[in-house]
Amino acid sequence: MQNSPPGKKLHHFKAGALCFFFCWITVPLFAFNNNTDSARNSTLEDAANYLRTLPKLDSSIFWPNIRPGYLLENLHLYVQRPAYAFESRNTNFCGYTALSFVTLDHDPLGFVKLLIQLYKEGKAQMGRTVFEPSEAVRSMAGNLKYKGMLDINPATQMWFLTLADHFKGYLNLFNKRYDRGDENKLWAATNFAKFNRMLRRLFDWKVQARGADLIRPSVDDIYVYLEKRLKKGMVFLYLNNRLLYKKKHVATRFGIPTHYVLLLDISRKDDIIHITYTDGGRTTHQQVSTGLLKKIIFGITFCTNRS
Amino acid sequence: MRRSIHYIIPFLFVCSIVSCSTPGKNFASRYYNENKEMLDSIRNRFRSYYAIKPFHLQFEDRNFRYISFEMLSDSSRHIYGFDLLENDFADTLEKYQYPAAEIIGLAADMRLIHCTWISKLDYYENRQQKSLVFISMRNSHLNSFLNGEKYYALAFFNDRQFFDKHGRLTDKSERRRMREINGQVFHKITDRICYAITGNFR
Repeated sequence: MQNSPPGKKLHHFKAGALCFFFCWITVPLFAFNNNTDSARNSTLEDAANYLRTLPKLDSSIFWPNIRPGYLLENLHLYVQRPAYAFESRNTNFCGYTALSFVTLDHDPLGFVKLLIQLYKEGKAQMGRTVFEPSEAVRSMAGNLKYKGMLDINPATQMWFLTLADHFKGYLNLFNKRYDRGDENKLWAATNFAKFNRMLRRLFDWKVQARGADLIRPSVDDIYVYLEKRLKKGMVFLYLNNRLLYKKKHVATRFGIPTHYVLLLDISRKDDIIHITYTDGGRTTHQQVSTGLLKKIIFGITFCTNRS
Repeated sequence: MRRSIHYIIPFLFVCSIVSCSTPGKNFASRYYNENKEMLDSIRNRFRSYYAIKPFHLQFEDRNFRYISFEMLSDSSRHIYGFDLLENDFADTLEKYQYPAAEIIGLAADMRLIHCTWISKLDYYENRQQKSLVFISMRNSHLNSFLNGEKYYALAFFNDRQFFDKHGRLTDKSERRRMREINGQVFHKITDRICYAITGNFR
């Protein structure tokens, strides 16, 4: 891709047509071929080798607050300690975090290349999506503070802000343009339909979703349903985080989903279900009752490879 | 019927005003000063036990009977629920090499002052990792029908912090930038201790 000045934007139709044509005639940059561990597009070692051979990065005119040295340091963290790559606190980035874990897991080399292209050129393509973040987010990336490890991960800041800037759902209707502090407001929020749309546009996966923003999925036995799906592909859960942690502080509370996690494992012993999921920077193992699990889950997204 | 509406509407209005009002700075400072010894002790003990093996502790219910214990490692977190009336909490702590008696004592003291949550939060200044101890408490004065549940949260810093003229916690390098912890503006109690009345207990 050619360099373009920060203010210059592609015409949407042209960009869409170009993207469509590009997707038809070539293999998409991030089209993962399989959902199993054995069929990753690249490995962490590939990404580490690429980073080692990468010539020195110059400062980017597109991302004025991201120093190239810190960016590279962050990308090295991606391949050395991937669990720490997307840890953030006090933001509405959980949907992007869940999605980013699978991105890095399936094609670390492609992901690292994408971020470097985004840094150098101010735009990049992933799947069917061409990212060209607005100036507001480009000037903020690198300056987010008091968000946990996100403070010292400028590449992650760049990536999350780009995703939130590009994908919009009905929750973002009243706050579409980024202003400082919007990362923990509705600007960054992700409703269930938006989350599934992101998956469909970024990856060449078959995405099946059950549930909605305010209505729980109608599933007879949630444990059996999740266990079956997990054997065949990836499962994302859209759940009520407050209920997951705070069980009986308040007698009644209107439950709405607030959080996305990537389910890694599920097992049952008596009436207690053991779930393992990625949440922030850590893999979390938790025991929940069947009733609570059914109560907290509002959306289940199941992804498999098209082939 | 019509006349009774004249009484009902002002009554409901007064009720809503009363239930919306939240205790102010006086309550927060007074609460800390009245429980200073216990709060400082809980904080110090938590720090020392955390240094042995990291954990976070939460009371799950209003009666302070059920505990949620988070065992932390570099890349994972195990969350277990326990009934304090049974012995399995102590057994599990011993099994995973936590200082069992000390943590049970800490939980008992937390229960005494209705402390719902204690954790260590990392933050960064000039890319250097620092940490604070975050404690939140339930208090009947803070709950109202319309406002819902509120918590009294305390942040214990290791270093001296900076505040604006209204006593709000600010950024060290940008004094006009409010510094939020868990999405909440905190207010000064001392140079190193701040409070907030918040809907988020963790």
